[in-house]
Formats: sequence, structure tokens, C-alpha cells
Amino acid sequence: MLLNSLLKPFVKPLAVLSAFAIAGWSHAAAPTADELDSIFAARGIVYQQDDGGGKGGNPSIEEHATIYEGILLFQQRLNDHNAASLKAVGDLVTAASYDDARDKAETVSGATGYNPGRFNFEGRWKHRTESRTGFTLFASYGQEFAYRSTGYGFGLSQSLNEESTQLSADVQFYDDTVRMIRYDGSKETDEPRDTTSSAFSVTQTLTPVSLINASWVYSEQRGMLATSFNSILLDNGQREFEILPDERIRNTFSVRYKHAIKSDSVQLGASYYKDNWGIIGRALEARYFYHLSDGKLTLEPSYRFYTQSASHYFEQQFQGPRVNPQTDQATRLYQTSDSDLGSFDGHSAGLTLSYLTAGWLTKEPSNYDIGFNVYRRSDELHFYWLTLGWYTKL
Amino acid sequence: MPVHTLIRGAVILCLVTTSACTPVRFNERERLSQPDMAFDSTPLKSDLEADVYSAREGATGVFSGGGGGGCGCY
Repeated sequence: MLLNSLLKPFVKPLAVLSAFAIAGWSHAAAPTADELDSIFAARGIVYQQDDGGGKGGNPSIEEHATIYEGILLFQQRLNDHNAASLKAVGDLVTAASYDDARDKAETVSGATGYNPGRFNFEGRWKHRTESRTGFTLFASYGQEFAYRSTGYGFGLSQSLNEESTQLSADVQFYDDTVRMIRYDGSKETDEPRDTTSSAFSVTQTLTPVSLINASWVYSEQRGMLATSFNSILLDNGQREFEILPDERIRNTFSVRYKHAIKSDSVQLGASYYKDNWGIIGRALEARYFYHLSDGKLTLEPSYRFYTQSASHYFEQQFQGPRVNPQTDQATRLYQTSDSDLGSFDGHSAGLTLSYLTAGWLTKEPSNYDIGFNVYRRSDELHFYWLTLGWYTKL
Repeated sequence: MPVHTLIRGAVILCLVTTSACTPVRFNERERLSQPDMAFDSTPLKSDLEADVYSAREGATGVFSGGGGGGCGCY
């Protein structure tokens, strides 16, 4: 019985993965020969979330936030067939929602979070055989204010037709813990959240100047799926906890197409998402890679449109308490006012400038980039982020 | 997950694969080997973008792998 429950989350993804492997068309974020090369990459982001002075997103909740994130990646080629990498992520977060929960928790229950910001470490091993089969293993650990995550996974990949076809399948498991710090500062026993995510992808070269990629991501989540410190507003002005189902099944299908136009290239993408909470999301994306100065300088303008329907459980404000105090009967099972689960359209536009040169920081050619993105949502919650990146082969 | 959803997904991927065009030979791949012809050519860039989008949208896995293991609740 115990063994059965332990193995249950693995059965479906393993069955699917086995089917891919047996059919001889498995690939993962396929470690090609180049992907095993030793590299060092650093990236920083400054992210600003603007709720228009409280009007955007859910008007009854403050949602402004500022986040500084840094990521370091070091990959070492071990030999012709193996490479190992380590990725470290660190964040400093100032967010109205959890700053408020943290301050109240310290005075009401004395509870503290796991981490004032966020950090995450990930180790990865890649292997590629002579027959162009790739294997990947990874493990990760991370902490946020009220969240702790342990992850591991593996992937398979295969190149076929003189590398014209790349197939991949990978499975990721996350065994997470939610620290139950509530919006009013109270603290309950920690709750688990388990995620199994499987991704299947095929990349096909169409012509000497074009290729297409199709992917399907299937994800199952179980456990405490609400955000512990989120609250909902009742029509009498009182607040209650956010309550959401303890299971979420998510499917995402994406197609991307890339086409070279002389020295430039264009990338187009479309995606469809559906989950069992009632959200249907659609995304369209376009990127253009404009090369200048013999390809050393690249300008990358991008545009992305996203639209989603609201979850069945979303309301900006609820009528009456969830449990009728007279009858002690629940008037509704679930409730959320998280604006990310509401209905909205989003327009995102960005511009990235990349420069490839040798001799600035390393003798090897390095790529430096700076980018700025604006994301405007129809519910007046807007985001801006600036990125700085550098990577070099070692 | 319903079996028919699995089968449908596998069939779609099979169709894409088996309907593939004639393989492009190595000597025809010069343009395709340029970094800008990779879907995720810059390390960490697409990961970071996916993190931003999945934290503030109901969807996940749009143009990227599965993922999980983060709250993104702020």
C-alpha cells in the first residue's frame, strides 16, 4: 500500500517516457556536442511590478513588488561524452503581499519564513553517446519566504535523420513544502505540495533556412496549492483565507517556427494551455534577430500576446462567508482573488541588444546583452524588467 | 490524466515527426548552425523569461519545459 502510493506519481510519466524510448524517438533538452562545452554565464534582472497605487490586479490587495535576481551558471565538459553544471540563483524581494504577512507573523505568532528573499541551487549532469542519444539528470534545492522546494528529474534525447530531427522527453519531480503563514500573521502546520511535470518536444529542420519545434508539457500538482498568505474579501469587508483544490492538472501545447532571412532571422510561436481549474490560456509570440556589424551586434525586438480565462474559483469579492455560521454548511468549496487566476489579456514587448566580442573579460569570445521588457495587463497590473547577461565559453 | 489525452499528444508528435521533410544534409546546414537559429541560444535567458511569465500568468510551460518547484507568490 505504502509502496503503491509512493510509486503512483511516477507511473504515468514513466509509462509515457518508456513509450518514447521504445519507439526510438526520445530526446531531451538534447545535449548536442556543443551543449557539452564548458561555459560560464551570469545574468541579472531587476523586476518591477506596478499595481497603479492599488488599483491594478485585485483592487482590494496591494500587489506592487520589486525583485533583484542574479543567476550564475558554470558548466564543465568532463570528456567527449559528459558534462556537469551548477546553477545558483539568488533573489532580494520587496513585495507588499508577503512583507505584510511577514510583519504580522512576527508579532502575531512569532513565525518566521524560510528565507527573506529566495535562493536556489541546481546540479545537472549531461551525457551524449556516439549514437546521438542524450541523457540528463538534475537535482535542485531552493527556499523562498514561505516555500521550500526539492526537485529532481531526468531526460532522454535522440537526434535522427542526420540531426534534422531532435526528439526529447524529460520528467521533473518537485517535493515542496509550504510554510503556512497566513495573511493575518497566524501560523499553521507546514503542508506538502508535489509536482510532476513531463515535457515532450520535437524539433524538425524543414529546409536549410527553417525549422519548427512542437512541445507538450503535462503537469500534475497535489497538496497545498493555494498561496498560504493570500486572502479574499467578503462583501461585509471581512477577509478569509484563499482555498483552492488540492489537485491541478495542466496541459500546454506550443509550436515555434524559425526562419532565416539572409543574415537575420525571425521566430514565431503559438501556445495553448488548459487546466482543470477552468483556466484556458493562449499565447502568440514574435521575435526578430537583426544582425549588424558582421553579426557581432544583434538587436532582438520581441512581442508577446497572452490571454486567459478566469479560474472557476476566482471572484474579486465574495458574497457572505464560505461557511454559513447559522447552518455550519459550506456555501462554496473554493475561493480565490489572486489576480493571476483571473481573466486578463497581456501585451509584452521587449528589446534585447547583444554584442559578441573577445578580449573584454576573457580571451574567448563572450556574449554580452542588455534587455528591457514591458508587460501590460488589461487588469492594470503591469511589469517591467531589465536584464543584463554575459556568457562565455571556457 | 485520461489515456485519450496521452494518445492524442503522442499521435500529434508522431505526425509531426513522420511527416518530416527530406533531411537537410550536413553541407546544407551552415545557416542553421548559427547561434540565432537555436530556439534557446543564450544560456539562462529563456529560463528567466519563463520564470517571469509563469509567476504572473495562470499558464505554465508556454514555449519552455515543464518546471515547477517555485512559488513565485508575491
